[in-house]
Amino acid sequence: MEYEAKIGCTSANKLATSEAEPKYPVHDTKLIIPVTMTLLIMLIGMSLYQVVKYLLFPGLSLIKSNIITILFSSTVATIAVYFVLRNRQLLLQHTLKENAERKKAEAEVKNLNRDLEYHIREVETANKELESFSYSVSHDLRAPLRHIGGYVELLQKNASSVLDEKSLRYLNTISESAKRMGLLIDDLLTFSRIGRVEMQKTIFSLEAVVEECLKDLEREMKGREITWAISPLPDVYGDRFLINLVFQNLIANAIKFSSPRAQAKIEIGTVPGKDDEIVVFVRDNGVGFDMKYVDKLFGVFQRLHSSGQFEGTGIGLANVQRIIHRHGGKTWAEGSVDKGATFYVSIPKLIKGE
Amino acid sequence: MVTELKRILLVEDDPRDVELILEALGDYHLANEVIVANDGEEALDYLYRRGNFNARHSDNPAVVLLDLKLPKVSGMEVLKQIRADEKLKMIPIVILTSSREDKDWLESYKLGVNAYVVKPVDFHEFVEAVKDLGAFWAVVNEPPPGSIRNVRKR
Repeated sequence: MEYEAKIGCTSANKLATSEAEPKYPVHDTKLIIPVTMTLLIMLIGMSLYQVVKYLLFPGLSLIKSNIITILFSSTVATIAVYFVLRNRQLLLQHTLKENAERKKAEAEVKNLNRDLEYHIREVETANKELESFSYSVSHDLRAPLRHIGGYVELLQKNASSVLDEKSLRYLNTISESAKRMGLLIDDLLTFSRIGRVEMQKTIFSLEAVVEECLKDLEREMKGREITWAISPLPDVYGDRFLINLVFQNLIANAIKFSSPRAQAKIEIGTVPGKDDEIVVFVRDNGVGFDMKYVDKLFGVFQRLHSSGQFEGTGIGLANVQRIIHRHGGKTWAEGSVDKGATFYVSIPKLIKGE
Repeated sequence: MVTELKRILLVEDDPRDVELILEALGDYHLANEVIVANDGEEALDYLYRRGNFNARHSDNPAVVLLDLKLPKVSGMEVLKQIRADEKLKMIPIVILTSSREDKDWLESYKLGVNAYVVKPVDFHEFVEAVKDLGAFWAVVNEPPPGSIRNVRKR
């Protein structure tokens, strides 16, 4: 019965689609096959009865025979109708349940969508605020800084003959501090821009990017004895400009923090990662770091060395992390004091069809 | 020696920046022909010869050094108006601003600016930038028709 009912349903659906109101075609058309089946069973039942009666009670009178026929067939019909009605009831219940479930699911989707829209609006607002914040930093903070530097300079030019050495040193310190603050502001702006700039993803050769970085960093390598060990690197999918910035930072760090070594060694290569990502490392034999502070490494303006030891504002690795996060990858590091450091970045591979 | 000096219109609301710019230009004897407008409205008044400037000569400045963040009428608005005006649209305009925002930079070029210079925080670099701008636009560059060259002796 179930089976027929199902077939009835599909063919009925097919029929119904060509009709004007295809919304709930199940209820009535589904009955065609069960009803036909019932009638067939009734006919077969009656015929069977006639055969049985003829074989068992050949001498039965016509009236008695007909009464028994009617009783028998109506019993069969009642049973058949019972099954049909039950089946119909089950179908109806099933449909109602399905409807209720669908409505519930729809409501859930609606709620989720509303939540999502709300969050998107929130993020958009936050982004706009951030934008106007960095604009204000860009414009309004830089101006007074330039003035401090400018007027100190003018003072140095005009009053150097009447000022004593100490005062001149003060002026120098003011000027240096203004410059340093300028650097910090510029770094902060770059950091903020890296988070907002629209990414233009392409497939490109990481090897070419590393080569470019090495060329750009030639000045930093002057007078240094550095052994390079660069393994073949794969093509990656991402924003070339931003990924270039990542390796620019990582390699510059490796050069910088290995500067106390007479013979520095810098390795760049890949390690096996998950199937859907490429893991690249940059390793140096420099001053390293204490793993205790590994969490601080990628923070904005976080430094593990004094500016007397190594120059820098401490924005580089924060930029690296931000860029890699925007690509859906991860950054981590290993190291120990005086035994070098290794920085890893994972970059997701292009999923076919993306 | 005869140097041709052309008039520069400096649109800048911050008196300290004005002083530092004039100082930088003055170092290279380029400051004599600088007209200062303190906001966008004054800049437009000068260019359209109205208000305080209704009696000025009819020639256009050889270059406008334009800040973006200005009271009343913004630099971007001034740029838009100059580029939309038949008589003014050829005047070279250099944006001289603190803003490094991509939005400003892109919008300025879309509106047809001739150069976009971010004021360096470092004073030496600032002086260099202003000096280069002054020397290029007021001496080296041949301005478009409509701006008279002032000949002066040095």
